[in-house]
Amino acid sequence: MATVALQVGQDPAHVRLVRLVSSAVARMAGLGDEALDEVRLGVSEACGLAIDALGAAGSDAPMSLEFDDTGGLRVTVRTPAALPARHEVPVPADPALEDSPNVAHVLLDRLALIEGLIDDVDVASGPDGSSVTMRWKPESGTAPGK
Amino acid sequence: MDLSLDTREQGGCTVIEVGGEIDVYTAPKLRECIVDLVNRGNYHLVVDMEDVEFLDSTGLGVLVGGLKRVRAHDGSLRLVCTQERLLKIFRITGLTKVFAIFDTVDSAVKENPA
Repeated sequence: MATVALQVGQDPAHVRLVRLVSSAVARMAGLGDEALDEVRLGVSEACGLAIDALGAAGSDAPMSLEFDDTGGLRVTVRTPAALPARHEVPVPADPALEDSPNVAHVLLDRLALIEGLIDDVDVASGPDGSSVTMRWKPESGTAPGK
Repeated sequence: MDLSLDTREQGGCTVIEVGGEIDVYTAPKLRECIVDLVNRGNYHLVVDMEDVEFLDSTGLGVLVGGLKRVRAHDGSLRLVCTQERLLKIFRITGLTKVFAIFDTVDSAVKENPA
């Protein structure tokens, strides 16, 4: 296997499907359990980001994913919409409680989580679209499970 | 696995046992559960995450939203989690400073300030 490509609609239910495919491809690429968790979460967050971007752009276009297991695993999630500006991804909390006292202001930024979790990430965003590319190296001594 | 939610009373708290995957698709169900409990006057919540298999930032957002809701009523929302893969996410996002995280439901309930 070299490349698996998926085209997925914006239905949040499809993100789980993408996670299942991601897990299978990561195992085939010989990644260990810890990296596999990173793949599932990274891909899930990138899909969430894509859904946010497409929703903000008012686009009903699908997102596309590409998995390449040549020498590890590379996953790219592409959308034809620009990503939301950094630090503007809102916490889905009740806005009426924004000023509630005694709670630290926490802004959950999907990209920040991806970059905090995964060592090798490239993000590109412009008026013509956006992409998030994440890379993992194979675990040393682990044979790909092909 | 889809999201499973079960609630019970223990030591003056409402314990929410969460199982399965909390993501962009299922997180609204957890949010509805928390909102419903708070609307019915349950302000001290313990979220047992030991059977959670997956958690993303949408789920974290729901937990933060739940914390805000109960704090508005001088309540509390404590988490039970020993899974390293979930704790790692709480650490990366800085939420270990926001949530009280316990090893067991019993220890979380004992901390109930009510």
